[in-house]
Amino acid sequence: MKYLFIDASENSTFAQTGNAAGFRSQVFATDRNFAARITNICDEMLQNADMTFADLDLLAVCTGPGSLTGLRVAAAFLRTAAMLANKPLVGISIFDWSLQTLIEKNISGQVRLVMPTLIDKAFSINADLPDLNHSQPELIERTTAGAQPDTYGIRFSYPGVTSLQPEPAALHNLINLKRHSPARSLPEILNVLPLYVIPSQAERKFKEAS
Amino acid sequence: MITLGIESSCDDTSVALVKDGIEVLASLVSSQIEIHRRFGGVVPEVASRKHLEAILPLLNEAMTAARCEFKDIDQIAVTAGPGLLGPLLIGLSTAKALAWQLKVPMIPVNHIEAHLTASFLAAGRKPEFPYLGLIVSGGNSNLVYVTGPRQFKCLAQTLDDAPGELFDKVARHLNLGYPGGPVIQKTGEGGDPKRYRLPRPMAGKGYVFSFSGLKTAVMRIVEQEGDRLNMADLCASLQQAVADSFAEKVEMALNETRARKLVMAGGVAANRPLREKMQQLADAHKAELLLPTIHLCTDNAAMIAAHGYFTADTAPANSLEVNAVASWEMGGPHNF
Repeated sequence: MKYLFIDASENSTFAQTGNAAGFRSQVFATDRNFAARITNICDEMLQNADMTFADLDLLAVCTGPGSLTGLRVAAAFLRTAAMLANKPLVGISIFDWSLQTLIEKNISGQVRLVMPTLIDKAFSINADLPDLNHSQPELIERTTAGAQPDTYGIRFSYPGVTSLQPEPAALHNLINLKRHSPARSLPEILNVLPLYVIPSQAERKFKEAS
Repeated sequence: MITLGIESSCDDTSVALVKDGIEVLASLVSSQIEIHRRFGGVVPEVASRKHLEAILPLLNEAMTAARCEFKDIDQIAVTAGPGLLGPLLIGLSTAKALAWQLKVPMIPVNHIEAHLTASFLAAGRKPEFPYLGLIVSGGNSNLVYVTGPRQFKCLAQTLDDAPGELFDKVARHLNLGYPGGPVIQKTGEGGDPKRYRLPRPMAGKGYVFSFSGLKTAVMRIVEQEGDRLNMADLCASLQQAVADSFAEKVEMALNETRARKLVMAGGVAANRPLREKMQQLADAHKAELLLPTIHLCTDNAAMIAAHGYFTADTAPANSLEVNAVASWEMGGPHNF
């Protein structure tokens, strides 16, 4: 199965192609130019993997948490490409990717994952490995991140928290696992949105006021 | 030649298909007004999210309405600026994916320039140069002399608020609702435009607009009049003051440039007193006034498609590398 994955949740863009023989990943220093470079990144990834877009069996997009603008640009681009070419699309959250990384490190049992978001805040989820299902993300104070044992910080170091970098090999295996349940129709594709959207300041103020 | 237009610079998601730059095959708009009304203005983060939800269903709907298939699209025109960055990026990224997949050119379009082309589109005509253009909207008030595709001489701009912004702020202050332009026009119907003496800011001071003083003047009248305030008269007086302010500068420009065509565009171009004033002015100067239909006054993708069609030659060769820009001068180069 041939795929193309884009993660624009950070300042740099992570892209990966894969097939039955393995995978190839690359990080692009896109900063704020991700939208300007997205077609070049896709072309370069496909060219390096000796694939064409037509060869792809599946598209995959990171659904966050992370930079809302980056996530949305990648989602808008890949959803349109998927719809147009009638290719399935899967959404990969960084939580799922990180849990898969832990599983491949032979870690089992109850774990907590935290990932920084707004200033002083972090998303937190709980899972019981090797089950990939996890609790709904909660917004917590960053200072409480290390309060529980077996807590892993995704791309994040903090006292009492073990730093965890989601790994490309785990992503490759996760995409292969998820290929059986991709979004295929337009309504399904529309559901592959950045899942971890933090309410805007205006929304939070409005909610408080009402 | 069929041009697909995509617009997402603020709170309207729009997709259109236009043939040869003058024939609208389909033009659909998904408005977020109801969502933003409760906040009293557009929240960029919310707008981006809603654009992402709306754009693909709207694209499919437009294709069906135009009885087109994706293979029929010859080129894609998309708003690249100016506007709200997050919302702009949704339209731009969608357009890039389409152009990349369909292997057709993508033309980045300046949204403000496209508003002027909307008036020609409304008349089913291609742009005819030179002309005098007045763009009046929530974020702009520009008076320009247009000599060719993407060739503008800026004559006047606002020092502070744009007219749409003024209407929004006054409407909010008077608890009339949002957006301000339509509610002020409705409230002012039948009102006496001479009842309240409002200033004509920058009158006699050359090519410059200013509207923040009008807002202050309105607030002062509200305070002074108290229970005696006649809302219809106040709204009518405000609209008259805005129309007179524009008319003075437009008349100067008509005399100076001897332009025989006057084009008014932008959301505030839907304002009836302003339209009437510009018609009187054009008649007095034996100039032709081109106005967009109400549908084409507000943000729409048909004008983006039409403007893209007529300015395709000016698009950069590597247009898929263009980024969205919050600020983009009319006629200015594409950012890289």
